[in-house]
Amino acid sequence: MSNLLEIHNLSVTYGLNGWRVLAVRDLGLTLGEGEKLAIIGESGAGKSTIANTIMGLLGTNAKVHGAIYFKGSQVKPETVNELRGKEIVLIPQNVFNSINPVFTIGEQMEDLQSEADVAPEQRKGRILELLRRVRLPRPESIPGSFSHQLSGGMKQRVLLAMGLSQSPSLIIADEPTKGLDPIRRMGILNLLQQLVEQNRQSLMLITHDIKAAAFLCETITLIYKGEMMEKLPAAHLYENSMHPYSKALLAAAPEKGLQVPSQINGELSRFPVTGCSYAAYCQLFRNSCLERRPGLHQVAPDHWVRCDAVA
Amino acid sequence: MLLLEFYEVTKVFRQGLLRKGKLEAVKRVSLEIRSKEIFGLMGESGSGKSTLGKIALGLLPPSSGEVLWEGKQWTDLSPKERLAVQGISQNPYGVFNPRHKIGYSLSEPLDYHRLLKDKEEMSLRIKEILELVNVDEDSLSKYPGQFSGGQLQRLAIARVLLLNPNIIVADEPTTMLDLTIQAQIMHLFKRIHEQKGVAILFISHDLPVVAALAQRIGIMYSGRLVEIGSTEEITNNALHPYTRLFLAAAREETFLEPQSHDSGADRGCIYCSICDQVVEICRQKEPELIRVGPEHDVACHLVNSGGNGDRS
Repeated sequence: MSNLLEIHNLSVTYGLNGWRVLAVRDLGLTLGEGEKLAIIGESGAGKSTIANTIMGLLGTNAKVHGAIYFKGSQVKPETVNELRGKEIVLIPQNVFNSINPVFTIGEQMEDLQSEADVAPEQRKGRILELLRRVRLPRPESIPGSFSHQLSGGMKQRVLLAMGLSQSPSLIIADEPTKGLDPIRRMGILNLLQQLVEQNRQSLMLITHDIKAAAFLCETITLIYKGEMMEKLPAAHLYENSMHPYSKALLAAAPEKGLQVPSQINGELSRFPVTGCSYAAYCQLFRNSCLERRPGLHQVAPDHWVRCDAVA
Repeated sequence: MLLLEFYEVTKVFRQGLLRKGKLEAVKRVSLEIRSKEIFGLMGESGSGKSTLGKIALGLLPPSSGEVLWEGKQWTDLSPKERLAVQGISQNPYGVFNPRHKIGYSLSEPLDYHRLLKDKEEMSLRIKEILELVNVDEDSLSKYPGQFSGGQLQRLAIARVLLLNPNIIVADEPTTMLDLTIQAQIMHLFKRIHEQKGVAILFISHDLPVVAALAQRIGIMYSGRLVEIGSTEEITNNALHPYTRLFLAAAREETFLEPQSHDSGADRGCIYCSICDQVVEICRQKEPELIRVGPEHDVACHLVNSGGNGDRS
């Protein structure tokens, strides 16, 4: 079966004050056409690095190992320009920095239309249609506005409309529900769901909102310190997740009893290079966890766990 | 005695070049915070909950109406009395001066207000509070940049507790934190509430978080307090159509996404352009909060007329 996106053995390190910081470690992922995949992790887990690597947006201090294939051909720094914004779009996390403040929304969207070779006389109509598709209230008032006249949620939708202007096959949404109130949150989740399902687009949802991921996606990937700890179908997340980290994360939700993972082996928290990166907090810790990095075990047809203790 | 009372508090912001535009961020809100309670103030973005929080902190004067802190007006409070109300912000990274060590930042307010006799007493007190918020003592000689968001939020809470407040206004204190860190901070709020008996005005739009902490909940919509009640009443027996929509969205049961807007008209219910249960009176008269139970008030005509929130 051909996958839309394949990531093989991806590692990303950042150079920082003479040190190399490992942001993503030996990641393998596949995303089928029309599939909705969630990448869940806490701050610093490397979620956004994964998105930026696919988009070719890493800074010069980053080093990438491994390979990314999109529609069967390898994505290279020289070729990523052909994909970015056309085949793959990123809805960035920080919507406040993502729209040029000195041009109107309409001017910026028209630039994108000319990129997409839309005839000048059709552009205005198409922009309105895009703004309508992302369900912005009073879409006709948007092209004349500047970034500062819109709320955070509206900016996010404008960016989504911009992303849709070239009918991409993959949408990467980085924390789309962050900071939204429940009503707006459900609105954007429903919107994303309908958009990708209408056009058979694939979605990569990067989030720490587990409920949003379970709601929107078919497959869930849990990332801890740059490593994939567990991958399983969303339908099985609450009942069948096996990795101690996944369980601790689910138990920390207010409706699941607000359990706090306690640090069991404090001295291990200083980034063990060999062994399991979750060892310091793990309930199932045993000495063999320090000796070697646990392998990724397949426990069911669609279910992988990186833990030697449970698999 | 009531710790904090709002009577018909309204806050109007003037907008535009000639200050002709009018935005009623808070309109005629009456509310009291009782001693030693956790009150959850909920509502969507732009509903005025943070503005109300700033008024509670004395940072914004209300445009009209009256606010009383333990029965006194802000202008009648001495500087020491004003310390009894303290705030915690959403962004823990912005709380501490990055060029001062944490130890300095924690002792500065104590020094400034001359609350303690000598250095020894001060360091004892700081130690005691650090233990309460579960931060190591060697943090005192570190800079803010050396901490994570969760640790900084603990330190921000510690600095506030040093001043012995009897009410803390916490404006979305966990939205910027990871789930596991959020759980830790919420346990901390519970602990300081139990041990110090401090009241907390907890502002958030996260229903599970508020439901787990608060004894009472108030729901704001477009500057109005539309419903207020015990946590149990609000989560199980909400009557206002907006509260019901808000709860349904929080429980992932609905996609309805009405656009909040202020029609500018003084007449009628602010929610009536969105509400699916509008009757004639909704367009004529703004509803007042009506008592429907011992711990439950609703501002909706349908409830008033005995319709119990259903179409009558």
